[in-house]
Amino acid sequence: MPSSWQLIGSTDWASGSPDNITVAFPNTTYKYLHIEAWTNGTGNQRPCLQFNSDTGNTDNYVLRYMEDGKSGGGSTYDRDFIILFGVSDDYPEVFSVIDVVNPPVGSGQEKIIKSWSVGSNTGAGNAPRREEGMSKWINTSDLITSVTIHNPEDGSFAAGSVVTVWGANDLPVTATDKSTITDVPAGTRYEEVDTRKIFRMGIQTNGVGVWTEQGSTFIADATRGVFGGGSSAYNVMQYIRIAITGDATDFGDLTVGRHWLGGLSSTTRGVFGSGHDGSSTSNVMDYITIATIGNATDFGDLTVARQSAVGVSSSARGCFGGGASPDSNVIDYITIDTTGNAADFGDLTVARQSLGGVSSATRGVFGGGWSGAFSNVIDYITIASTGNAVDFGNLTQARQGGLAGASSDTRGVFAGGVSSGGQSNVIDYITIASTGNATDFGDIVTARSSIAGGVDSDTRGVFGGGGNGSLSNVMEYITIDTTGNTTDFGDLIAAKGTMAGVSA
Amino acid sequence: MADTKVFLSGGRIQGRSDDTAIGTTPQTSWKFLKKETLDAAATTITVTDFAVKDNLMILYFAKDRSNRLNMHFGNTSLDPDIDVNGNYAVRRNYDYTYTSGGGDATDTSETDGIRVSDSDTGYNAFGYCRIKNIANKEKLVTGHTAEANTGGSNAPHSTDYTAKWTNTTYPINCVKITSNYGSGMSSGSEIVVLGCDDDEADTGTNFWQELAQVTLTAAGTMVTPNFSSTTKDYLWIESYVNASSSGSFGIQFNTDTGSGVTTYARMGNANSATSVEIRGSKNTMYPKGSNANTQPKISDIFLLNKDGTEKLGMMDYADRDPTGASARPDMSMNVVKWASDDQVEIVLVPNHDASLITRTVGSVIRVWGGTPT
Repeated sequence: MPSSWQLIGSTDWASGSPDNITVAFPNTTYKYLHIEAWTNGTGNQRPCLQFNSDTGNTDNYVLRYMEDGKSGGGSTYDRDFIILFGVSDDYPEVFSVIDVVNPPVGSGQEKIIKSWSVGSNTGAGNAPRREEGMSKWINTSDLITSVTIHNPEDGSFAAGSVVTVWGANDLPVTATDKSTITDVPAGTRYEEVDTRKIFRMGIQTNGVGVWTEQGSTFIADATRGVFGGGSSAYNVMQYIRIAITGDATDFGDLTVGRHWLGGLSSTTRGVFGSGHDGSSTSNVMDYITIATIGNATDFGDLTVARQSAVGVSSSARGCFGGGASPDSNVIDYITIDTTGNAADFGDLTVARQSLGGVSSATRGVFGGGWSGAFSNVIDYITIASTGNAVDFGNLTQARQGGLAGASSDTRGVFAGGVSSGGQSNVIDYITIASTGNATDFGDIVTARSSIAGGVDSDTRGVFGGGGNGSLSNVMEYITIDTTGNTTDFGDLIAAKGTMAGVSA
Repeated sequence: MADTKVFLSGGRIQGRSDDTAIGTTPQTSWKFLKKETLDAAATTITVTDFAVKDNLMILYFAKDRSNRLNMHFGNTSLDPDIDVNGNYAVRRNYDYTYTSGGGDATDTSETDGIRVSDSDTGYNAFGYCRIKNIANKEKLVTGHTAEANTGGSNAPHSTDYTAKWTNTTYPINCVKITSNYGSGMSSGSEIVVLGCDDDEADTGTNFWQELAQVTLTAAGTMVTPNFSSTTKDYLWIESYVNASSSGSFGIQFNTDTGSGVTTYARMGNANSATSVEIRGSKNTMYPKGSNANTQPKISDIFLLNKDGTEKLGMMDYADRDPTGASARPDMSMNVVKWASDDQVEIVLVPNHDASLITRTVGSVIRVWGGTPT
């Protein structure tokens, strides 16, 4: 059953001075409020509106109103309340209908109020009077949690006066119909796990997003992984379907061939950044739409040209951290779905190159690398903010040489590299949302360094290429949320090391 | 609801074919009490003996009505049920006729009841009123009616009214609409009575159910999901939107950007000025000129959304004006129509010229709907 209006509360006038009839709802806030107030009284009485017991000592209310079809209407500024019916103060019975939208905390917005009121006059021989108003409560820091109908005059509300408040809010939602999900980038894939149908988000020319079935079913997971670049400033990108073992297929070309580059991905787009083009370090970032085979397109420039940086990302923002030469503590960031140059994010805890990266939707975590020595440092950032990295813990083995990262939304895995003892077969893992030292995961079947990671689905991570005396065309995979050794996946188009990976 | 989505690695979203928004809202607001729908042309529609509620909301749709509409109330303890004696007093305003002395017309000791529609033309009319329904007190009424005129090139007409039925013995449990100055109303015309007690019990089903909503958690456009599968005959739409750069306000349905004279029209008044703004053949329904600024804006719309007839309703609007208590909001009351026979299934809040503007975080729109059954 969908959301609806619900009764928040109703208060009958009892007694007191000054006259205040209040409906309070301190424990729940509502995005929309609807108020109906009926007051009668003796002597002078004029129903007025206040929120959160703000009696306006600093004059927090202002009103534009219109009475009985009178041109020009009127205004009251800097008041202690909103006058709902100001035509006269001796009408015994007034009925007001009020609507308010309660802007979210943090939006910094004043509350705007609409009110319609009718005053009874007396008997059928006298026409009622009316007042319409648009008003505001200038408070920008609080949500409305109580409504008061206040009589500032010297008469009194009488028994029977009643104020009733309804509210509407978001429902507690435990599942989401895909038709309600429209604020996602074009190309986003929706997988219906019971029917195994795939839908893609398309944005129509009018800006409205629509899911369209793709006429195919996914096998466990349809995420695509793309390896780009590689040794000898390779410009080729090659792709796999992560859930299905097999050899890689040509995807297209980078804008600039390079090795020792980094990669990161949004829900639709992969970005390759940094690297070495065979003659110098590179500030190039280029991107692909992962679902669409083709050549990369220029994205913009990093803040600092470098190689051996690594990428981490949420669905919206990507960060490249570290690099060389010299060993760099630079972290810069981009909005993945908007081309442009990178901006400064903050610094790593330790400047280093050839490190590994893993990420959840919230955190990016950098592990290992070379900082004049083999590093076991793990540090992390909150991707949606900016600032310096914070210590996370230590790897099980200090190493560098392009640790391959793979991550689910909960776990990050670092694989391979070079330690003081030579090429490493170590795989260790962390729980991204916590902090602490890494734990042994298993082994790479063939110890090697310069392996490309970043090619992962929510369940599987694929490591590609690398070397140990000679370049490798091997791809191996793990199931991220278990532990164990790697399993053969298939072969790359060519044996390459120092590639980067992206996936969506 | 969309903000509950979770991106899996690779930027995927997963769900099930039978996923729906699951949650519970107490069923403690307006309930459908009773309706009467004409199955043949007639001069009156009467609904009798509906449950007594503290608060009433009455929706009425007079199709092809030949002349003005009048509303009477009654109680089944009266004989006859409907009170046609001079126990009504009315203040009403036709087409925002504001004057320095007060532009309202008044009727007192009126036997014809409440004149809720004042046009003498033969078009559809839709309106609603709210009533505090206390047995031993005069019944105070505030209501509005929109009259369709013809097509998107002609603005609808407006009647705003406040009124009272002076009976202080009985609560209202009967209502009648009359169009007896001509040939009456066509089949399909109806009165829908909704009610809610001040202590409404959590039973049954609320009439106004959410059909769609947008809450921006990041800057974006205001476009509701398509609710074609659940759209209703009557809609209540509230929005609060803001923009970081100068933007205006319009309401658009089903991404219909308008063409020729077949789209949107309105009649409205800004800040109770003597001038009435009449706008037809537009790309959106918009209040108060272009209203382009960076101020937050609210709107409140009641809309007749029956299939096969133009969509007709009332739109109240305000924008904040500059911040602080020394700047008063701007206000605008309007009657609006979308000259389409299609039912509304998407609501957009673009600029008034129909271009989709990026709104800021916190902008919201929500659509409730109900069909009496």
